[in-house]
This record gives sequence, structure tokens and C-alpha cells, in this order.
Amino acid sequence: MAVPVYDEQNYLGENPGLARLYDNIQATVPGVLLPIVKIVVWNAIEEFYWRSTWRREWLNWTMPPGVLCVDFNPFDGNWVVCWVLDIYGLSDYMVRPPAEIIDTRSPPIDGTREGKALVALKPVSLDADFDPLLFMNWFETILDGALYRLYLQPAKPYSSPQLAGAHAKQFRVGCQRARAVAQMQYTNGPGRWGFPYFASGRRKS
Amino acid sequence: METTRPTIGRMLLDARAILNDVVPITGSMRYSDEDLIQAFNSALAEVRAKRPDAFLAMGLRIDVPRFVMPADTTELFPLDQIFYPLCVNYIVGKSELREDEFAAEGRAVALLNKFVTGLLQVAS
Repeated sequence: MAVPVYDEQNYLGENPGLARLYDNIQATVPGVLLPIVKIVVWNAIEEFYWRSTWRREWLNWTMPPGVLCVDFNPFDGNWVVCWVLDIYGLSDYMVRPPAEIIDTRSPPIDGTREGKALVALKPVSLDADFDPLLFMNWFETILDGALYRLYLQPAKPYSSPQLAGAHAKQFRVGCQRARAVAQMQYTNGPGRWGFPYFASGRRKS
Repeated sequence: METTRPTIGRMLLDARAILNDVVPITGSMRYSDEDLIQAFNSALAEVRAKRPDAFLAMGLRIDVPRFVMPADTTELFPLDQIFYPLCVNYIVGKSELREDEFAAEGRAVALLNKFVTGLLQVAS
């Protein structure tokens, strides 16, 4: 059988960010198997998006006459809404998690209602097209999230509650930082100045 | 250099080499292929209990595969290669537990312990 040749240009595969993540984990954690690496990486990415609300989108919604609720899911084939962060256009409403808004005005208002909603998205699977910034800016955070899950597993060659604790802390800090950046309109400095959220009667995102 | 996974037949040969049962001096093998493959099936059940992640690729909600000889001689070793030497140790250890004038009971216990240690710890 021919000996495989090291291919420097293509060794990271179709998704270089994911392959880099797998390489980092498998080179660091003794005796870990690729299927379990994929599971923890996916769990870490999902939790990252869920905690940080890193991917946010504004959606325009319309409620035709007689309709009292709008469901924003599915967002598209690769992404689903995991949080409704802000709603414009309704004075009294209720959010039914994860992505349904319900007009609770009583008596119900006839006519068409329109508005906007700020939502946070998470990917539906590891095959989704992640935004390039995920592995550029938050690589270490996702790595921490995967490592803490691996080290936390019982009765494995790589079990280590101490390391799990350290990486879990780093992961949570990274998620908080990502959330802060998203709240600042993806700038790393101070965000646009505006009235405090409570001054305009809105809910905190 | 070999880059393919070893076969079941190869694994039994490796186990026989440690058991010193390769060349039939007396005309017949001390351990039949059926005995050794039974030991390997037991090893798979042990791996399934202690390292379920080893079975993720083939599925966790199915029965542990069972191999028979000689039908599965050319089948590939079903787990990741890091488990190959551990399974060889287990087959040898389990075989030497048998009441046999040539068997070394102390070595059998050592190999079975090495199998468990190798599954659960880095140091082995």
C-alpha cells in the first residue's frame, strides 16, 4: 500500500476551523477518539451561540388580521432562532420560547400589525456554515468548551476535574465577552450611545 | 509501512505469538481459534462497558458485535487501533486463565489488569 503523503495545503480539510479544532484536541488529550471529539465540539459550539447570542439578526414580522402569533423558526436550513432579544411593534406581548411572539392585547386588535424583532440564532448541526469569525476570534473559547467537556467525563484516560474546572471557567468568560461584543454592535470599543434600555420602555437584550 | 487496520486473523496470530502457540509442536494448537475469538468477544463487551465512546462510530444503541472463526478471519479490527494491543493482552490473559500446565496464572492476571488500566488511565 502506498504511504500517504503529507499534504500541507489541504491537510486541514474542507472546514479548516473545525479541522484545526480537532487537531488541537486530539494532539492534546491522550487516548481521545474522534467521534467523541465531534460530539463535544458540537455541544460547545451550540452552547457558545446560545450563551453569547453571538449571531444576531433583525427580522421584520407581520401579523395579518385575526392572527395573534408569529413563529420565527426555522430561520433557514442551517440556523434556528434560540432567543428573541427585542421586539418592536407590540405594546403587550408574550414570548413562547424559543421563537414565537404572541400578541396579548385585550381585546385583540383587528387589522394588520407589523414590526421588527431582534433574534439570536444557533446552528442546527455541525455541518452548518459557521461565520468565519467564529474560528478566527473565538477559537480558544470553543476549544475551552470542548476540553472541559472531555476532562469532565468519568473513567477515561483523560478525566481531570481540575482541568475541567479551569477550561469551563475560560469558556464561560469567552461566552460573556462574545455577548458583550455582540451587544456593542460587533465593535470592540464602546457601543453607539443611546438612551438606557429602561428609558425607552424596552426590555434588556 | 501498514496504514490499514489489522484483521481479526492478524490479531489472533499476535495473541498466539505471546501464548507461544504458533507452531504446533505437539501436532495441535493448545488454543483453538474458537477459544481465542470467544475471548475477543468478551474483550469487546468489557470495552463497551468501560469505554462506550469506542463504539460511537458503529452506534451505541445496537448490540456489541460478535465474531466467529473462521468466517471472520479477514474482518477488520472493529475499534480504533489504540485498542488493538489492549485486546491482544486480554485474549492472552483470558486464555492463560485456563487450567493448563503451560499457563502462567500470574501473567494472566497481570495482562487482564493491564487491559483495564489501559482502557481507563494514561499510565499503564
